Amino acid sequence: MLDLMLAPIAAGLVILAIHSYLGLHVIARGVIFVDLAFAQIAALGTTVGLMVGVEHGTPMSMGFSLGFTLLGALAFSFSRLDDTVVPQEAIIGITYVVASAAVVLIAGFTAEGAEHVAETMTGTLIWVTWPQIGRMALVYATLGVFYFVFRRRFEALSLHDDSVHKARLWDFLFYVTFGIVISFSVAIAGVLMVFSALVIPAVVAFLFTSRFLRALLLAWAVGTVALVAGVLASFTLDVATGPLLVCTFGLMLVVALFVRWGTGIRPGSKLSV
Amino acid sequence: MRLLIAVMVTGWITGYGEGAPTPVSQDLREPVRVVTTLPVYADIVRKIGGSGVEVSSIAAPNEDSHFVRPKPSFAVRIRRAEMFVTTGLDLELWVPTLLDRAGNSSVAEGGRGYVTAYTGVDLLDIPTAVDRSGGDVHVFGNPHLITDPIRTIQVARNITVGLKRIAPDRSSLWDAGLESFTAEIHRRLFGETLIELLGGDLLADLALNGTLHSFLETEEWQGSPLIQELGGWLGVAEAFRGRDIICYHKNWAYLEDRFGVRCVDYVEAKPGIPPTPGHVADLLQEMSSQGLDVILAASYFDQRKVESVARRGGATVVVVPMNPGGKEGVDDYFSLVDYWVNGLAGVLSRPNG
Repeated sequence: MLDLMLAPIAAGLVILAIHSYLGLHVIARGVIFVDLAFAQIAALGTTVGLMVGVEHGTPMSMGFSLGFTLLGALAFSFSRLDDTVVPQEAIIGITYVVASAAVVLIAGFTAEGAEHVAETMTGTLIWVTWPQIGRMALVYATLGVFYFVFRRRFEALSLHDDSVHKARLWDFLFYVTFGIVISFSVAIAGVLMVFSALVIPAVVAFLFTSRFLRALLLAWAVGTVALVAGVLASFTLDVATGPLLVCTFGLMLVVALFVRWGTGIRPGSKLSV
Repeated sequence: MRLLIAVMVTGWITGYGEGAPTPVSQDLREPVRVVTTLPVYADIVRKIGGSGVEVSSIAAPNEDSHFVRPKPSFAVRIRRAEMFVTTGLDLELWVPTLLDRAGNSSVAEGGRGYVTAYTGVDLLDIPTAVDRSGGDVHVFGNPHLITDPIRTIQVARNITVGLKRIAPDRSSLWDAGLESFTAEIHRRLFGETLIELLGGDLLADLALNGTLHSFLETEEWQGSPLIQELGGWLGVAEAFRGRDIICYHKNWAYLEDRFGVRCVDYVEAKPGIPPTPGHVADLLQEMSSQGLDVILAASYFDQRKVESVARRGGATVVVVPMNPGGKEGVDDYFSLVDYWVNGLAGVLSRPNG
């Protein structure tokens, strides 16, 4: 039983490590739903692949989802609009809705499409295999090194929003790498779980601190507790792992809000490194 | 001991041994632990193994067998299992992943405890060209084997072979279970009278090679054709033999083959692909021009869709479970077939048109 739990927990930790970090950026930038949009674009890629005869889970199918994600990254890095009241979140929301509708539409032409759509939401974290985890960890480690080396650039981009024009390239790089991360995690954990791992630990962390590094450590800690508790509960109660994990992450937020209220911690709204 | 009682009680609830000689066993050896993909296979295992097996199924009775919602206990149960029963075709698409995760090599594909239901079954709908864009074309043939009771006997034989491989010391128990299951299917399919006159095996052979009806119509007994003595499910099915109906999904190839009813079209545009507006329009046209007024659907599909098509086409819907436990009163394989046959006979009393 214990060794059956190890793979989902390991996969969850690998996902958490990089998603919590990206989550801090996403919240600092105020583009919370960019992950949902990317997830749907990636799903659209695999669905289009499925329609032209590329089976699920093959490298070719991954290629489709990455290709679509790249296009999405281009779109997002150029959708920081100047001289308008339209926020970027609007463009992201529109992308999400249109990509979702397109997935449902295209899935209608393939067998069992509806179930395919449902599976992209909740994922199949408990069926994850060690080779899958290995591949994902390799990709994430590479990107982690990249983020670490260029951390000043990315932090400057997310924390101070005044040099937009010079930032297109780094903006694009941020979205491209983000899209790659999402393509891997959504295939394993599903849209809902990925969104939770990204946003909830980061939100909890920012409730208590406005310093980036401290927030990152706090997010990792919170995420790990929620993940391990969620997987344990899923095995003890014998309920679907993906949806239960999302609820566990939500519960962590509620607990954190009580703690914040009880302790009276107010970190302020000015972010710093 | 508590386990043994639980197994016996479950067996009793699901009608185990009903009307058939119960294999008597004073056996206090550990029951063979069996996991099956579908509830219907679990029921057959229970009917063969009685208190000698401890069996559970992965899919719920009203779940679409192509997809199940993954729960942690699935892998745990398969890990503990000595025998695993699956269709073996591309019906339960989740089986390879699950077996992979459970890591129990003795029930993995090719292992001692891995049993495929389809082995030795005469398959229908084997596609000539394989292309998934034509819907979930099952590349090896139609996997919904158990809609034909005679093919189900072959499924039971495969299960028996598996049990003998796992627990050869109890072979006589498994053989007795198979024998009583087979006899019960024969009795319920052909009726007592024909069984006494000709024997179940001969009748089953005739039915399998498609000559049962011509034989019964030409042979006489006490001055009248034998066909008048046809009882059981086939006797009931005389009411709808040769009738055309609409089906929701391509589940019924083997039922059509056995009971002589024909699915002329499907509510799904292609197998597994939900109805599109254009297809529904064509279907309604076809229903009115050919006088098709019955739609047969398995209970795991969205019934509102089926009913809306039926209402517009002035047709009656027969919604039936695909597994024991799928409906109140349908507790085992025998009552499942009862439900199919009686359901169709209930609405197909009038001729087409």
